[in-house]
Amino acid sequence: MTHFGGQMQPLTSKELEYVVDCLTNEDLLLKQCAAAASQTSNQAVYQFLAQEANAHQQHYNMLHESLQQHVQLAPAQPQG
Amino acid sequence: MPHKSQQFLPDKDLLYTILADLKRTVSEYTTAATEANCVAVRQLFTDLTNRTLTLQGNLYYFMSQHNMYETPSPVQQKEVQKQLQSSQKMLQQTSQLVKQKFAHPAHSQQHGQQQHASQGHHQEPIHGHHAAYYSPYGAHVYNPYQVQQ
Repeated sequence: MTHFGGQMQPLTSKELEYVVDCLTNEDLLLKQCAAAASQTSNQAVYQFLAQEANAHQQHYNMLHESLQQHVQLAPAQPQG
Repeated sequence: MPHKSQQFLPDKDLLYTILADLKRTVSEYTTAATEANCVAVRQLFTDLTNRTLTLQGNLYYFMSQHNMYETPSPVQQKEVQKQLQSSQKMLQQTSQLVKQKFAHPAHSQQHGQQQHASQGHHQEPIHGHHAAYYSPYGAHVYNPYQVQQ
């Protein structure tokens, strides 16, 4: 992900909350694009929304991958 | 695609709700980046801030090109001129103040005193050799305390 890969640290509770909130945001944006695309009769709007939906899908995947990468780093027991 | 009369909302309104949510999401990514601890997580949020900002800009441009967003009328030149003069004045005053504050003798190398934090003085990294320091977010970062030589 970055060239500082060796410095990857376990997620803090705050970081986890932000990742989860952002996943929800991207999910909502994706659904909004799909809903709007299904409503429009304008081809240009439809095309634009299709591209945008694709971008939100990518963003969602990036956040999801980040969670996957951090699973192994997270301590199994609560830390003092 | 349904006929226009069957639409739940006009295109303009549908796109505006997305535009508003993109704006909110950019803001949330920015806050997340500022509060990240892990370098990789910070980089992810920074990248997503930039990407979402681009999406928001593209949507705004699309809407304005299709007459779905009313751009406010431009301000008159005299109003810009007024703010320009005010800004110039503020800059001059602040420059004076900054020069005075950084000219404190305890921190001046011109007196041949190499003073470091270990000597009990709190010292901001204002001098040339302190101008850049190591950061995981970039080999060297801009130091806002640096005084132009």
